[in-house]
Amino acid sequence: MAEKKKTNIILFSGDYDKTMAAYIIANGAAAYDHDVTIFHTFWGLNALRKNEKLQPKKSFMEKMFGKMMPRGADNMPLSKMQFLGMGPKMIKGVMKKHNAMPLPDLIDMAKEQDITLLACTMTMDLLGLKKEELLDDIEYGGVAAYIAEGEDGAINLFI
Amino acid sequence: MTDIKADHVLDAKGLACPMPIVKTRKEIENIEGGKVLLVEATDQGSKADLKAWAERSGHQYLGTVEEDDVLRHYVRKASEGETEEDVSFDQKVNNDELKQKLDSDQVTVLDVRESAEYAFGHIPNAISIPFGELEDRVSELNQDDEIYVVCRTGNRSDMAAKLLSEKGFENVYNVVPGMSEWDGDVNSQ
Repeated sequence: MAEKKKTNIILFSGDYDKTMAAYIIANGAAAYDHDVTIFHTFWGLNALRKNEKLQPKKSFMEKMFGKMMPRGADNMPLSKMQFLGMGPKMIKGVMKKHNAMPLPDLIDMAKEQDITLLACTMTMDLLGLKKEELLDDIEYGGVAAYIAEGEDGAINLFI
Repeated sequence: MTDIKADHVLDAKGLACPMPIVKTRKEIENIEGGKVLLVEATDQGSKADLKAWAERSGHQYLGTVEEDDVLRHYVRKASEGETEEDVSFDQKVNNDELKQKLDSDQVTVLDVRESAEYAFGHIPNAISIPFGELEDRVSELNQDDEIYVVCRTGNRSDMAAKLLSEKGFENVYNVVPGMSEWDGDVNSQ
């Protein structure tokens, strides 16, 4: 069989629906025997946030950011039809009906399939996110980490 | 076409994309090469997905049967060495020669692929005996017949032809390459 192909996804968005698309593609590509990496940057980092309230040492601005951003994938808003929180409730209901996997499960599945979840450290600093606030077993890197994977990637997406 | 035989069954009914593929990939790791996996799914996209996935990963997509909103996909796991040409039985014919034989003479075509492969397309009137069952079912064949053994690429039929000649069959020919490039008439079950 040919050498393993690579799929790289840059997840910039912090929306539930866009993140779901990213993780569905990632899981599909992993089933295709691709080496898959998801680079989480800016609002995409929120998908990796733990749900529990942690209080690492932070500056005032960092605390503000921390309060305004969703804690974890399940709390993320929709890119359309947010309706003050009604939208995500509705879509989760519909997803359940159609047996679509909820986002937190897709993230678990990604880990199970050895997909590399990578957090961009530069934007972590900007948004004041600390390592202890993010999921365990993820990797950290910068733009070079993406380029290294991306230059021979069969699929490169920016979501 | 409800009773096509499969060695393993994976129930992916009710699951949405990408789960049927993710599950299939996991399941196929537990299966012996050459065996047939039946994936039952209700996701309408799973047919195109499974076909593309199988082709990419080297497995053989046999076909899909649809009934009562359930898609039943048949996939045969790739087995090592099967893609390489390893045909040593010296009585052999190519596809075109077999086609001419079919037009002119009364000949027996023996298809030694798995029964699911046979079900999704075979030469009309071919007898189906999967290679794994051939030794036990040799008595179903007539030693005096002119027998053309066919599989997908010529490997299994090569082994089958050798087995038959050991059992005393003299008029046995291996068809190379076989069904993978067969462009003559085809029947489905």
